[in-house]
Amino acid sequence: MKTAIRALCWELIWKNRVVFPALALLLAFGAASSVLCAHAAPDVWWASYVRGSILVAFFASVLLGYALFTLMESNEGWRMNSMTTRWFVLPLRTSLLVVAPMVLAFGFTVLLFSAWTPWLKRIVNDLDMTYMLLVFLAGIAAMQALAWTVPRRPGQFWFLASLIFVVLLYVAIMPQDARGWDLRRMTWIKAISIVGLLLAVFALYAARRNRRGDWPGEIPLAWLGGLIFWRGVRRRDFASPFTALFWSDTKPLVRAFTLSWLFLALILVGWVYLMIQLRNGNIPFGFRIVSFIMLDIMPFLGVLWLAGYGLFAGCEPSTGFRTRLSSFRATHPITAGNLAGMRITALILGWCLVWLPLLGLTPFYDGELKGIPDPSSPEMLLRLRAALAWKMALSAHVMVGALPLMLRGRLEGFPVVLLAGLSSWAWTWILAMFLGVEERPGWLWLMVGALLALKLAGAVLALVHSRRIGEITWRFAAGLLGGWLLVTGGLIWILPTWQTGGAWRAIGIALLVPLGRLACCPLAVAANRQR
Amino acid sequence: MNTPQNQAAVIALNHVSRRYGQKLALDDVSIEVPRGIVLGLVGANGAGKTTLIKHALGLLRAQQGTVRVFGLDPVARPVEVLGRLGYLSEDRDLPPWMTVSELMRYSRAFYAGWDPAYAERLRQQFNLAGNSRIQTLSKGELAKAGLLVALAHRPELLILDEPSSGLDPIVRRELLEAVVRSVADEGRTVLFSSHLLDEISRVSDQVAMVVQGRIVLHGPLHQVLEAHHRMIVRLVKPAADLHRLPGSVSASGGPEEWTVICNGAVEKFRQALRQAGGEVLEESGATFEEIFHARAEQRAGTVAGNLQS
Amino acid sequence: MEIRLSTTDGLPVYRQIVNQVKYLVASGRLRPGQELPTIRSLAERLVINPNTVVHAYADLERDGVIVCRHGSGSYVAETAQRSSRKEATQSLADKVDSLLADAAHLQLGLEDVLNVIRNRHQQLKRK
Repeated sequence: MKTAIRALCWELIWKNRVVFPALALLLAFGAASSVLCAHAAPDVWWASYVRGSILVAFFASVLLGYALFTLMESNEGWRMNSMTTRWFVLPLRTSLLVVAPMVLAFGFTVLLFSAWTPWLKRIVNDLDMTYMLLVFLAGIAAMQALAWTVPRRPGQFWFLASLIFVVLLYVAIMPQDARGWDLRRMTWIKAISIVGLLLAVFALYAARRNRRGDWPGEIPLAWLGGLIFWRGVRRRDFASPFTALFWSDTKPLVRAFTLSWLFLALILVGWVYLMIQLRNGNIPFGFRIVSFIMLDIMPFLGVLWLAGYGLFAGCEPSTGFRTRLSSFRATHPITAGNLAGMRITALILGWCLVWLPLLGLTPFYDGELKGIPDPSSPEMLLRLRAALAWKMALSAHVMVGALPLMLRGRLEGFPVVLLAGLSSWAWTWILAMFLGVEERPGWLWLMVGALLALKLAGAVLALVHSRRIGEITWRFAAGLLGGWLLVTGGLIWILPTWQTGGAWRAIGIALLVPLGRLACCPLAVAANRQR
Repeated sequence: MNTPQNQAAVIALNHVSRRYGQKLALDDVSIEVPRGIVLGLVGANGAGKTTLIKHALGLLRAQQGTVRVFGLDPVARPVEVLGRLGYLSEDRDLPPWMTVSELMRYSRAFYAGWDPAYAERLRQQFNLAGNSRIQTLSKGELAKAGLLVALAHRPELLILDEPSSGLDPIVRRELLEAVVRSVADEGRTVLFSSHLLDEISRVSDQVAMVVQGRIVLHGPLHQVLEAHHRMIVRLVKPAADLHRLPGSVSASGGPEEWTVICNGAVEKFRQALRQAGGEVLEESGATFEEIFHARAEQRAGTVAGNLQS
Repeated sequence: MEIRLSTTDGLPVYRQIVNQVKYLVASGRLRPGQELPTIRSLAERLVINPNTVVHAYADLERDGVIVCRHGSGSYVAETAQRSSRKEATQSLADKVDSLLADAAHLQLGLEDVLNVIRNRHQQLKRK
């Protein structure tokens, strides 16, 4: 039995070993930034950025850790999976199959928290780490229960997983803020432990029934889906290959996308309502942190999700993060420009649908938290404009992420996608740092100007080369360049001029709005198809 | 080289080699598929059939040599080449969430020559329900759906990569019938790879045998069968290296009676055998399977010899 | 017209068709003037390449067993039966060759062989 446990644990760790370097990287970043923050003056302008990125890194580590122990085999193509129903054929008791990964996951989470606690304490020193650890352990039990319960329906799995994450976030941070936390702490801890235990037992129950084939494997929501969505299928033919490709990429996602969007919208509307109610009292610190995570980080991660969950991968969405073109796709008689263009269009559409409504809410958040008494003042309008322009540019930048790399088809898997997104996020922080600099010596202008010139030159070169090998039309190139000019110009126009360094920020926006990477996409797809 | 033969060739590979890391997947392969011919590509798993096919589709760039399909380079002109051929892949990776009729509507958008009436007829012949999801199709139905998409736009060239792998005999027969029917109807060129020798023997005009990345045999099937003979010989003197006799491809058995597969030069073989002190006990035609094994052995021997020297 | 193919006896498919058609004509199962299946339908039925059928029919025509009338299909030739008697005798001769070879290996002489033939013939007549 001992060797069986060892074999199971070895399988879990070894097949996902790609996660560990990623986690080490994130920890190193968190530690270094934390030390930097601690040694800097308390009110230096980049402090909030760095603190924010430490939290992002921590959150990403937690996500990775969760993914390590909860993705079931139905999520193949993520290059990560943990328990698999293949284990049911092994001559082992179900309790062993459930308990071994759970205990391993618990140990792993404890290790993760111990590693991160010293660095987190330096930036936020009144966080109750023990309590948070317990909450996240209960979260593991919940995620594993989910994995054993709905293995057959990836869509439902992700929906419920997001729900669990949001609840975890609230439960981890919110109760700490109310007065009398020390008194109520033990009650909360006991309650969380009981819930966690119950969830673990439920996981075992579900796994047992699953093994016998006596478990539905999905939540019977099909009738709900039928209510919400019109069953009529358009029977007309597709006007062009482009339309057909677009349809084939977006259709399987429509249901998941709409439900998630509704869900996200509900949460945010509720959140803003809460904020307005709390305006009269003091806004608690925990609320601030969670607001920061929800409204500043999650939309970006949401955008990452959107981009990652198949919309920008090189092949069918339902296979997750597998980016190599399927031979069915690769042998369509279409140019690489068509394929890349379709992906980009779907991405932009998704971005408009997800992010623009969110943008409407963030100025309220900015306004409320930074204490603007009158929501309809001109100051509010200016804040609105600044927030819009800046966040649109940032989110577009993060959304494109490492798109050409993904379309190239050489990198696969969830950790890679996460890291690619995080690296473009890191680039935005670096840029923000430069843009926040008060004195701007001449060489800084020169460098930034050179970067911009490099970006434009690179894009033009890529487009010319793609045209030469016949993979794109002039219309594609014109559309891309024209679109970039339009968006950049529009954002710069929106940006209010009262903010110091308007021209500086304008260049920043020009650098952020993605062009170069998009121009490389047709080449990447062509290289994917012809190896 | 612009010989009339070349002009008529639908697929022409010239001295194509391909290396994956250390492994040599294709070793100086030159082959032509003339128009209107059914070419059966036969070889063991991993011999290089799929690699060869991927070169013809433009999914692999030739590291050495040239590839021409319809006279065009499939890597440089993917749209023209792919629009005129139909392909059934080995792993049948059709999108699992589409239904059969959605798949047909979707594929139609890409091919100018798509014939919806023909597609519908094929669908009924294959007995595929229009509203069943690809995910729920059995292996056989999946292969049939893939063949439907490949045939419905009436391509000039049909490329099938292991069409019958993993299928039961009934479905195998259905697929082959569909292929035969399309050849009879429109004289299209077909390149299909298989390791089921029975299928190759029935349906091919020409056959090409791939062993460890090399084409060891290429020609009209009936000529190949008529050229190879199986001889049972008895050797009085021990193992006078039978492999070295002219025309011999492989020899097995022993210590006294041996089975030799002989190619072409039968008389010379008999003479040499008599000189070596042996005699022919029986002679008959070699089956395709025996020829395949013999050639595979011969190639393995050559490779081993090369490795040693 | 029932044809049975085997891919495991070393004969090309077209040769097997040719041999079997000749046998059918010789044994009277295909009568002179009877129409043969079209190339396409035979290919579909046997699941073989139509060119193989073309090759077989061409050989049969060359040997005078069938006549291909352009546009209206192929028919068994009128003189087929007679010429196929020669073929039948020839195919019997092949069988006798292998019989005699077997007998030689089993060290049985001509008389033994003839005795066996007579015995078997009588047994068949009795049934």
